[in-house]
Amino acid sequence: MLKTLDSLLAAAEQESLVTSAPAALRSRIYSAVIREAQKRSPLRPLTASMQSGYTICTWENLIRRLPGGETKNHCTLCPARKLAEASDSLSIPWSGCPYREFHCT
Amino acid sequence: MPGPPPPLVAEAKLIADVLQGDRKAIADFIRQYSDLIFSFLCQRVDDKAAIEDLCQEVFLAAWSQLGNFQGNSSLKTWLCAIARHKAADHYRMQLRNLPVAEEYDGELDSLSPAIWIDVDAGFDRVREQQRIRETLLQLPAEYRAVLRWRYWDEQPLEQIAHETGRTTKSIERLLARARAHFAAQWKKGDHHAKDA
Repeated sequence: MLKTLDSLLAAAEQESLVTSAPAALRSRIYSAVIREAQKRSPLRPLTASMQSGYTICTWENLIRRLPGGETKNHCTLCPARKLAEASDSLSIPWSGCPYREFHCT
Repeated sequence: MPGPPPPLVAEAKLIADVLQGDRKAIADFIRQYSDLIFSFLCQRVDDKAAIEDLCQEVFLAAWSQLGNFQGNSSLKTWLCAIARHKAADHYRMQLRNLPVAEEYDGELDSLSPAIWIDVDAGFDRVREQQRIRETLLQLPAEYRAVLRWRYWDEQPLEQIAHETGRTTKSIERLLARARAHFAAQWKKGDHHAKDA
């Protein structure tokens, strides 16, 4: 079947295949965006996050009770973050962890 | 019991939450759209490290510009537009690195009206696309860049010339050569398939 090169190439883009983003990449993107968000203004308090319908992780739930803990980025101290940024196959046990979600979906 | 919110309502809530610096919303945002952006970039860029860098740049740019998102298009369309710009930056680099001598090697290439490609009638869309990708990968990086920029992002020759600091004529020659190489590689692939 003959096709013009122009039509062949133009149609190829429209039929793009879905490729899953690697979990480690998603994790690195998340860390980078959170870093930038923190530079602009404090992160939303975790309690407000919960009230808005989101689940927070075990680690965040513990630390948010400390002074200033509501708006800090607790993930910077969490070993799961480093592992998640380095590996595409990782099992993070605690629920509500964004890095775990990146590795599960 | 109420069902899930309609997509546009859910999208608006997600955007509002991201803008408030809600880390969970940011995670949802990345989870929902990373496959789309990653796939979009995989179509246009061949180097894995570059794809990953560009993907991160898209999300950082999206996050910083999200306050300006008017909702005139879907979030997907808006994100793809950002990704298209990032891919164009990549093409620009590839074409800028092209030695000037490479463009003017005495050939008088110009865009012929049509180049015909013989596509196996048994190919479905997926196979055809795979073959196109394989063929593109056989070409030099600057040919791949100009073909994708021109055909997939529908950039006019004048715009490509403007963005790369070259003349329209030189981009026309480059594109003509890229098209000819693509057709030759495709034909070569046909012979290999017949020989196999």
